[in-house]
Amino acid sequence: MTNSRKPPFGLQRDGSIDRRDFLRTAGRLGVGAFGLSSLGLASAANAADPFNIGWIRPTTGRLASSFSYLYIGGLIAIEEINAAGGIMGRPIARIEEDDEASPAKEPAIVKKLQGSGVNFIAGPTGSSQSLSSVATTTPGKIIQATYANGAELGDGVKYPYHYQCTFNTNQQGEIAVRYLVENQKLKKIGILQENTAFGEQATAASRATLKKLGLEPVKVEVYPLTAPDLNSYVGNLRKAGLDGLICWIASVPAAAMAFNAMNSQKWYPPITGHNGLFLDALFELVPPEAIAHVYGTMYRSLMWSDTTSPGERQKAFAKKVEGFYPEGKGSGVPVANSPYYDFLHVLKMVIEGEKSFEPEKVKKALDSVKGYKGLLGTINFTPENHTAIGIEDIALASVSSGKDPRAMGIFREMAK
Amino acid sequence: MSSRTRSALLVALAVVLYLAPFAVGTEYRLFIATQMAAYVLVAVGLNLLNGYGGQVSLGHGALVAIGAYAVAIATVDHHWSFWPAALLAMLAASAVGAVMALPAFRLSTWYFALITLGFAEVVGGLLTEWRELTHGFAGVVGVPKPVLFGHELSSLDLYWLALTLNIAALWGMANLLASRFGRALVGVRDNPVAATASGVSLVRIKMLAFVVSAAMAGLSGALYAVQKTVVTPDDFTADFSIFFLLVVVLGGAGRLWGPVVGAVVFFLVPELLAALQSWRMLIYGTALLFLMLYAPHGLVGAMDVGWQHLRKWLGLPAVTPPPVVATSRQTVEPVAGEALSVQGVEKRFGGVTALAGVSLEVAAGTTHAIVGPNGSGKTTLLNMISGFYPIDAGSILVDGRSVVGLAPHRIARRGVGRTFQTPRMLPALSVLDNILLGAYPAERQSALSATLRLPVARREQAASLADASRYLDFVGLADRAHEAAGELPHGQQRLAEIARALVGRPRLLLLDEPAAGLSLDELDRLGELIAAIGRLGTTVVIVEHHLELVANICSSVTVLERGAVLASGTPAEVFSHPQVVAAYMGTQAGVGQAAS
Amino acid sequence: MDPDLLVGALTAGSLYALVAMGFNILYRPTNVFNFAQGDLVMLGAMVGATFITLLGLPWFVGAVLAMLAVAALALLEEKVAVAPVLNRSATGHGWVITTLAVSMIFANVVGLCWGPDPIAVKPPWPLSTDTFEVLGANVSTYQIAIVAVTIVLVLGVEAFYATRPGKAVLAVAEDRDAALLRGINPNRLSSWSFFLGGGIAALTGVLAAPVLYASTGLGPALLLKGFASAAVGGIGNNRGALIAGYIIGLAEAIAASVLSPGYQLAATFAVMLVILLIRPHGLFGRPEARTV
Repeated sequence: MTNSRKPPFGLQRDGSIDRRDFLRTAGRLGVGAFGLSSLGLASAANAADPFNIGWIRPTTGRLASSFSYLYIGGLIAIEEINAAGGIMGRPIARIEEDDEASPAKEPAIVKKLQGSGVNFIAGPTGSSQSLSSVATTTPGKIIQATYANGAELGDGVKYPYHYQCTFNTNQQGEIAVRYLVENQKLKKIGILQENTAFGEQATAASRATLKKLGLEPVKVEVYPLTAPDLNSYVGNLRKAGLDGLICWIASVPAAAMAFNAMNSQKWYPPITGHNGLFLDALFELVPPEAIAHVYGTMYRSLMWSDTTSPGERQKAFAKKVEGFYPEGKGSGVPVANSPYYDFLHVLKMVIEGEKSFEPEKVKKALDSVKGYKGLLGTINFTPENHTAIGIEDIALASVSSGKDPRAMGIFREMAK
Repeated sequence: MSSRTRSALLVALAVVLYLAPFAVGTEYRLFIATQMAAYVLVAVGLNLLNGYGGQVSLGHGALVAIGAYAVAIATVDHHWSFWPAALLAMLAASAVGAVMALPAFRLSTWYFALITLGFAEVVGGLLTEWRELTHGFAGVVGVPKPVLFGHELSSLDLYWLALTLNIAALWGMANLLASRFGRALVGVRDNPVAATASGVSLVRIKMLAFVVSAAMAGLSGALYAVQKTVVTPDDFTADFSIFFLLVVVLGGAGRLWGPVVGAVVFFLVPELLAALQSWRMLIYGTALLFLMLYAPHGLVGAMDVGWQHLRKWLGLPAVTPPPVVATSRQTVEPVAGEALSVQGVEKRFGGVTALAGVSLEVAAGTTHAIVGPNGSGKTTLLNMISGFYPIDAGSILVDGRSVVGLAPHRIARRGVGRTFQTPRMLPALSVLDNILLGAYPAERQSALSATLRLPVARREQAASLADASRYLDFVGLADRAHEAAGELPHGQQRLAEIARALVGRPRLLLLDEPAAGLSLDELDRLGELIAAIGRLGTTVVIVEHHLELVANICSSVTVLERGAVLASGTPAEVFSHPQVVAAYMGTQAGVGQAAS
Repeated sequence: MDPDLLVGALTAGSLYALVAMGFNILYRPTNVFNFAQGDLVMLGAMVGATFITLLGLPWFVGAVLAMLAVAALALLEEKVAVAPVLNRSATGHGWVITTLAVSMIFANVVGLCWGPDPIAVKPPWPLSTDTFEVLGANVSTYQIAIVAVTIVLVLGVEAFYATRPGKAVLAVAEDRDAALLRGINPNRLSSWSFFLGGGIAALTGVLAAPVLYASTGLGPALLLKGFASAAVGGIGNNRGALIAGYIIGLAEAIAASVLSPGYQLAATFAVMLVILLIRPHGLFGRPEARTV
């Protein structure tokens, strides 16, 4: 298979990118079965210049198994867009780089992509990783959407070229706290937090909300990503005598370890937290009472309740996700929560509206997107606020409802 | 190739490197090149410590981390300018490096390697734990570029800065290694006892090597921080430290250009093998194993060997350095010999009594022999006089001052020189360099002046070289000056060792069985040599079995048997003493039967 | 003090003592400190987890298979990375780097084969990790088993060194050449010691898996703590390693509850350094005389 891409704008080219990308595709160590069709190359009939998007995604490293499949939403979007003729006639092509989910690797990767003439980037995943990445994309004036919830990344003044197409930690903190305090009437709240930018900002938001309600967290335990087990952290929380626990956990192994620890200490508090808790493996790992009262933040559009259910568009999306991701590692919710689907569709809309691929023009247009009905929620941007989603579009959903057939892999029942 | 040609080639290389970006530079390539230069800095420092000094440190990554974080926190959180921040980085890293070095003085090499590894892990953990200071896992973001005279450095400027630092580091390192410090460090690695006997304080030299390598790591960290603009704990895993060791070993430990070659190969290979990204660490591990087993001198070592073979194949003559000529035939200055007084010295090893109350007196400027059957405690006595073994009881006075409890290198600096039963040479260095090691205590230049090749250092080095050449001549080894000491036959190694001891201008010279294994011809020469040394005024104490030699050159003799003095006096008196004849020479009559 | 801490300390300490014992067994005849030891433990855990959890074999069968597999790997390591270096120079330190290289190789092969995610392993029936209360502390039957098994193993190994073959090992440690002259084959002993050391490492890994998770992160953590226990106890002394293991486990537990769990490694390290600087040969080691 030859690759006849030419970098746009006639910039100096490395040459080695093409070969490398090809080799990487060929040598990919199956973390999820991606077909070669997902490269999104146009059919042979269309000889138009492809529109290159940087794709920063971890395929190796400690967090690869938690993050690598979170780009499926983006792949679906690319397929849809290219099938409809691409953006202004140009098919989207991905230039993928492995960042190993390490903040340390981000600057070099951005420089490399810059060198290939890329002006738009999807990824990385993770707030710490994204903060490291925007440090280089911002001066480089590269338009970027990351899968990161840290509220700082929605600051349009600090990071004018970054668009956060997910809900942010401020909103998550608010919802998670209010459910425990107002809905469940609990007073002694504790927090288990991963030692990352996401964890920090989520805890900060939780504290702020608790303060508004006249409370303080009884105990906050921060664990490093390299912790071999979470027994002592969970033990410390348990001994503090909590009524309710908030878990800001974003990696699969840590979620498993936390619940294991709670199980061996026979402690089953009510829990709210991040969508990293929607781990289907928990059903095998711990008894049902452990997850009976566990809720994670999610989009309303992907939830059902006694009175509502997800729309047809979302159901079609669920079927497509299953097509891309049949083994169903059981993390359907984080996969569906991916920002790239909506980002790419918004990008197409904006570029075709401006009739230009130039980043400054695109940025201006993005900053005035109002009321766009995305798959996950309504998207609004202003020059100052780059967090797309409003708090009214998210809520808590129950983890245990993952067993329900209505879940279709990615939906969950709204918390009562 | 002559040194002129070499210098010209190096200058040409430097020019090419400075100008290269105009031809093939892209942002990304500059980024990688600058990062590689930062690695070279650390590797050069680590090569000093590990390649030349033999200390395995697996913690240098942590020192780079400290430098990088120092600059990042100082410039981002406290708005310092880069230049004082870089200085802070070097100081902080040196301080931590010094602390990390402390266990090395009491514990053996591999303990030390593990402790440095532990250090690296602890630092990594603390970087994440001390979130208020270090910004935790997300790290410090947005490190500003340095500003020089109002002009903010671009990536190209940064590359040039890194390149300049590299060149300065290599130059300074070459100077340091060629000085007495370099020799002392090799002594620490290859033969600590020889170094100690030449007055080298092992602790001080190790500490010097540590602090220098730590400072370079800190400086590298400063460069790292401004180049990446983001400093996170993930940059500095334990693997990071191991990378540096790999670079040093890959390039060639103990070779000046090793770190450069190692860093270049280390960086180029992943770029070429990008497809094997996930196998990278596995490849490095295998490469490291392979190298240590089959090419312990790394790529530079292999290239050297290959070059030698090529020269032979091409029929080129072997390179001969200029012959060493003693600068003048002037006589060597006389020495004020020290007197030795040993009183009631005792030594026990577990249940065995090696010395049971030995006393002897040696007048200044005389030549005294200690003889006795094997196991009578002769070498033990010498070891105690020179401080290598502690005393259980008794006193030892050199020049009227007690040396009991002093460290051996201190005693060496008091003017006590010695040789050993088995010659202790530094096999990798040339004969001349080995002898120059003996000049260590006499030279006064500081490490800084040696590194910068200040005039005072150069003068001192020239004087020592003249001295060494003279003694080389004195012992008759002038024609073998540039051969590796390990290649010398046994007898000549002994002579070289004596020359080494002489360069230090000892006032009391202890010779441990210098005649063992010598041919008759060499024996004669040795006798003349010792007599000449005695004529200079040096007090000589010689442990020997060759009684004829002893009778010819010594004015007094002590006979030891089973740790006690059997007889003492002039050779004639002692050798006709009936007990001595019976106990020592047994039924074999006559003097001159060797029993080595 | 919270009695739970004590339980945790004893359990963790036992595991560290077992790692230390693996070190000591390897060290005795070779004077080589195996940097890949932590990875051997991890390999034991991963292989055991594969057999027990993923393939569903009975616990004992899986454990024995893991021990054999890892022991063979340790033997391979000795032949490839240790013996050649020792033969070149019996007192050199080239093995520091070769065993380090082997450690890198093992760790990455495991990472490539199994991925970075931890595998959970259930303890053998009738033991379990569920806790019940005893004297105010929460203990599980599995934890009790670990502590007991460790003590038995330590006493067993010590008993072995009192036998004739055991004494041969000690002889080789003292003076390789002299032992050779007495008809002892140091190379064979080295190979056997690596084989056994690898087996013990694997057993440690399998025992640790239900408590610590089988994952690639297990190696480095245990390397350092096992080394700390061996060093504090006196290298080569297994009873010392047991006591030292408890001390280290206790230091860790106290640091976790008084400071924060993130300080555990720093605390362990600090304790080890202090003890070593006061007694460089460990609490129960004997100093060696220098040879000049």
